[in-house]
Amino acid sequence: MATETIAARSGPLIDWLLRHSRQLAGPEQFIEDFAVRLRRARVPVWRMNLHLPPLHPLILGRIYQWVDGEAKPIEIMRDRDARGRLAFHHSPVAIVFRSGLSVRRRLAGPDADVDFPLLEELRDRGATDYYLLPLEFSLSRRRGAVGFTTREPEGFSEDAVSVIDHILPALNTVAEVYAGRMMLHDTLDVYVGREATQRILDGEITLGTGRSIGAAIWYTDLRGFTMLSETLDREIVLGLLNDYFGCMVPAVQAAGGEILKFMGDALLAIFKFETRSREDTCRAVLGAALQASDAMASLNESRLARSLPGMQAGIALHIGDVVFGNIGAADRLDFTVIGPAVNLASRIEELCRDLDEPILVSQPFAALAGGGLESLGSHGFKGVTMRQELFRPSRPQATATS
Amino acid sequence: MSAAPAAAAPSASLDANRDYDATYAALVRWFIDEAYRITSPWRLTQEVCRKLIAAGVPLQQFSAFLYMLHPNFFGVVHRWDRTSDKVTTTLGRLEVLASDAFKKSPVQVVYGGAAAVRRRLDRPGFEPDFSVLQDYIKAGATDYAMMALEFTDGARHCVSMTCDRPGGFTLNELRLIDALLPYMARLTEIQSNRYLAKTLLDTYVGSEAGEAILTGNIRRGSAETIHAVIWMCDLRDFTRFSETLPRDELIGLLNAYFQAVGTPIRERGGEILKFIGDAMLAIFRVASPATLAEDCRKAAEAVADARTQLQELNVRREAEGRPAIRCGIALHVGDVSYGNIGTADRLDFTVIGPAVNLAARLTTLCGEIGETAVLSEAMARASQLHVESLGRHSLKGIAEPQEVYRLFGPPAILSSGGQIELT
Repeated sequence: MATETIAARSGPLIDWLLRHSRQLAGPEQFIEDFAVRLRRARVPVWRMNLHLPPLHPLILGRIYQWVDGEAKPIEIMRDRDARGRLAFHHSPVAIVFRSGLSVRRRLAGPDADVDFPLLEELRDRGATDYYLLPLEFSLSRRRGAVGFTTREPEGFSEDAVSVIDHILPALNTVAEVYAGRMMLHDTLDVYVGREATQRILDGEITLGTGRSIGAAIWYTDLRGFTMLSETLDREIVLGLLNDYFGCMVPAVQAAGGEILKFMGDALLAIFKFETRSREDTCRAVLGAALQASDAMASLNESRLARSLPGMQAGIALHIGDVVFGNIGAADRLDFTVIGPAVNLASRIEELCRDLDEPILVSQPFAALAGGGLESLGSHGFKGVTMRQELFRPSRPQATATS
Repeated sequence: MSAAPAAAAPSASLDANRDYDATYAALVRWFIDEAYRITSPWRLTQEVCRKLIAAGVPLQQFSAFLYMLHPNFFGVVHRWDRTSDKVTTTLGRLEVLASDAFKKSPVQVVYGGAAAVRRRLDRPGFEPDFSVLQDYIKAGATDYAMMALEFTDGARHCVSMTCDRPGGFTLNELRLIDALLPYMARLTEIQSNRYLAKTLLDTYVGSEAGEAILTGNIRRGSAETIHAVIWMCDLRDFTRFSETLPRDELIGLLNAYFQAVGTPIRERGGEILKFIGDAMLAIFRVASPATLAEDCRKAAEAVADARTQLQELNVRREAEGRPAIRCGIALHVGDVSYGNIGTADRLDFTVIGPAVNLAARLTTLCGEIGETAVLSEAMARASQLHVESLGRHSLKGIAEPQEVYRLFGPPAILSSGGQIELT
């Protein structure tokens, strides 16, 4: 009896998936609207999960989850820590990703087979049946998955399962559209930074476009990097750079900063004066610089313990306007940041070595940051006409103790 | 293939609603079950056209107009033609956007929000209101329609089609195409996202980076070593310029300079690896020891070309009252290590290695000794070009003083000469 009924029940769902889903804002809204439609087609779904695969090895997968009666569908980034990975490897999703086969489990009644921690959790919340299917993408070897859970006493009927099977290809297509969009954003974010990604995707992709932003500027580089990279093996140099950036990047990001550029061993970040006052921003940035400098000190201790060369970084903090612009030739561009303030920051940073200070702060930055700084007098800079008073944090600095 | 010629015959069958429903259902199944395997937009266009022809729609030509985000192009047109059953793909340069022909095209009307444009070309007294229609009339078209192809991200693209059956498309044929377009749009959007990701990564991360990143072949810390002719250049007085010039002027100056040095490199097969402020690092890969001298010559020719370009540019800039652009170029031969550094959520491709350091120091030396271009000793030896020594120089961070050279005369002529003895 079923085929006619199933085609009739699936038809409107498929039609909606491919014809109307475009009016939806994103995966969150999509999953909610779709789940509601499934229920109308008498597929009594209580919880639905859409797993979009990481299309880049460094980026984690995203999960969109809708649960009946709960406020709004949510986006979950899979935990990158060991516990998160362990949980993933012991989940039905890992099985589906690996095998490309679906997983169906009755969670109640005589056929119950609750063989994963996740399924126990669902059963304890009243779930009776769980069905997880693979999503295969045309442009990627990585799989996704879509999961349906019900709380109906008898579980999903065979007809309901057939409807799900029938609509899967159409659902797959919509999921790949979303997965592709995520991949686009995520890979660009990783390589060019969030701000640049937004601007590029908004269409700032032709040569010369320039907009200016007021911000606190953070410029850092490694002392003696040329010498190190002359003498050390390239794997060691890469490891050293990664260790050092591992101290800088998290400190910058935790204080609301954005990494604009890596330039060899140098890093340029800004903290926009947007959500906080200029004073609060500068205080947070100074705190982050102290933190990064402490992190470098403990990194050096552990490196020395492993007989690896130590390293010293200089951090310059300044404020001013930075200009974004596309520079380059033909189809090879760079989203760059220029402006006198950026130059001065890099010149101040050069003085970190001469003055043997891990952190140097410009006068305008110091004026906003308030206390905790002491003057080092006025200094001149290469290529810059104005002299500038410089400051350093007045607490005993980490490197001084080591 | 086989279906194409037969399908030119007028088909009345679609006008029976029963057949319409069956055809629609079959094509929907095809989109869902099979078409998703197609990975390129031109192939999808071709397959859709073949399906429509097989269903009896007398298509003469069918074009998909897809907007895209690209530094040089605003969009791409995939145009299928029944006579050849082939698709021609044309990229639209950004300049076209400003042209009158484009502003007064049906694409613009649909892009601007109209649901569709239709023109019955064979109606007596029909006056073409778009210039493109005249070409279709000449080709014997009787009917023209353009419809929107809408993506889930809100973007509007479009498709146009003509037929050559007297009387034009039937209502059911247009209904069918209209009903199928959302399916085509989903697949096209998947392909476009992928293409866009690759384009933007190639543009901003590196010429070959896009594919490598998207296929997941790159991990943090992984490095590739390339044996290459290394080109490093920077702009003299950049700090002073950035202190004194207005920002648009400064970005304009940087772009004029990168264009003048970057184009000669790209034209000779060089790759721009990095922009670092006012500096640029490029390489000419050395495939084997046998091609080394030839690869060196390409780089030297690029130097000569860049010099000419900069001279011409400076004549223009001088006439406009703008400061002259002077740069320093260093050429060297060695190993470049290209690796991924940073943290998991913010990465960069970086270039390291003693050879790169030396090139960077030689670039600085250019400014100090007033040369436009210098060659390292390794480059001077490998290139077999006429060079002259500029003496030995101590370079910051480099242990041994280095003998440096400059090109002597135009490389294109001298390269045909024999090997030059270096002492």
